[in-house]
Amino acid sequence: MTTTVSQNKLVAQRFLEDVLNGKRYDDAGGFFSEDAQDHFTGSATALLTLSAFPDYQLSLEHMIEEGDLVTVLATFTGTHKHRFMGIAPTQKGVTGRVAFSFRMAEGRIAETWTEIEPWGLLQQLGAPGLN
Amino acid sequence: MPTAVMQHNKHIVQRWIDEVFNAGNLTSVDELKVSSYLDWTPLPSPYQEVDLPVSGIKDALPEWLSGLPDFEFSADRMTAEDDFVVCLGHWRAHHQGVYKGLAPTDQLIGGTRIDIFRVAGDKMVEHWGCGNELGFLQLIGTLEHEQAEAIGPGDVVRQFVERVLGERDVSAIAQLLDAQAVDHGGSAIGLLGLLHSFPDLEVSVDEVAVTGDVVEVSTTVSGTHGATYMGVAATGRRVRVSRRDRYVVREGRIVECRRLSDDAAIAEQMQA
Repeated sequence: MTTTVSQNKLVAQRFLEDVLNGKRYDDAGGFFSEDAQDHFTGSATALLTLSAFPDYQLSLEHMIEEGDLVTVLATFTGTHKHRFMGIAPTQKGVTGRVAFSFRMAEGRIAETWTEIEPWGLLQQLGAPGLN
Repeated sequence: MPTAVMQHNKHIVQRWIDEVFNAGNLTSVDELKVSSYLDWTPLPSPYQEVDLPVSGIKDALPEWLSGLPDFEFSADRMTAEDDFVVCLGHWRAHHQGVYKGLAPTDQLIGGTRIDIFRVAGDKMVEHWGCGNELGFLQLIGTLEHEQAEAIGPGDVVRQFVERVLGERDVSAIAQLLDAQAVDHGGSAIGLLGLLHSFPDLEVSVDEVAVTGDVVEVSTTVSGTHGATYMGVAATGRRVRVSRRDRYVVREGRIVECRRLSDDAAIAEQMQA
């Protein structure tokens, strides 16, 4: 099996490590091409969810690439510090999964899909209705 | 891994979508999944009691398809590397039949997903899935939500800004955004950055201008500047920033968003 990591995978990995885990959101712009498209429903759900666990740390589980598309599956851990789906902060530690797909163009992210698994989190926070 | 094998693996996943999910053909389940199939996706509460991966889906699917008879899952993109297949997909359905004892509401629900499968030979062996199924949880009453009402494009955007951006209300997203809504330029990461830099962020709507299905909204974002934003290091000061965004609304849901405000002007306001 080859151990060479492609340029596009490296960019995706750096985005997760530097911008997300490093909380250097100010550097995000440099990763995206002008007028990058974001599939907003999934991304807004995923990133607003992460914002309720502001110390979240992602750990890369699988990275799959074909053509211009790199997909990253990551697990994350974080502390529930902001209101999430009506649940006041519990300070509980949670763990979950999030997936990103990036369409790359000339070394930059031109299109993003992000999806998170919300009900595992709701269960860990003891949401009523999810027992 | 040879390209032909990766093509074959994609074909297996596509068959699962077409034959099982979209056509409700249960005999394909055993053909396409090994009995030791490993599913890493936490299941929604109505399914917790069933072994969904192989046998359980045969019980769950007919009920699902009779409650949501026009259910359709579409694979938008599929990629493969080694024995992995990635599917970026979306689904839509109207609640037109009885589901979990719930009388038909004709409500449109839908979601987007990223699913990752491992395939060995002619069968899927392992799966990880992430998807926004909050609309579904709301429909079946597992997740409380405010009753969706038919509201005009201006109010859809106002609610989006106030509830989603202002109150971080994730559960409002499914009601106010179309599953396939696209954001140009700003991206959700900008929102995460804003919430990080201004942890006590408040958003107020100043003006909403509606022209057909296009809505332009001016908002004031205020908060304590607690982390570097737009190159300006944390000042600890209370900062007010104006921004302007354009949305396109169709059938009561946002389908497109675009940020209109100029970044440099925002940085300037912060230094003032």
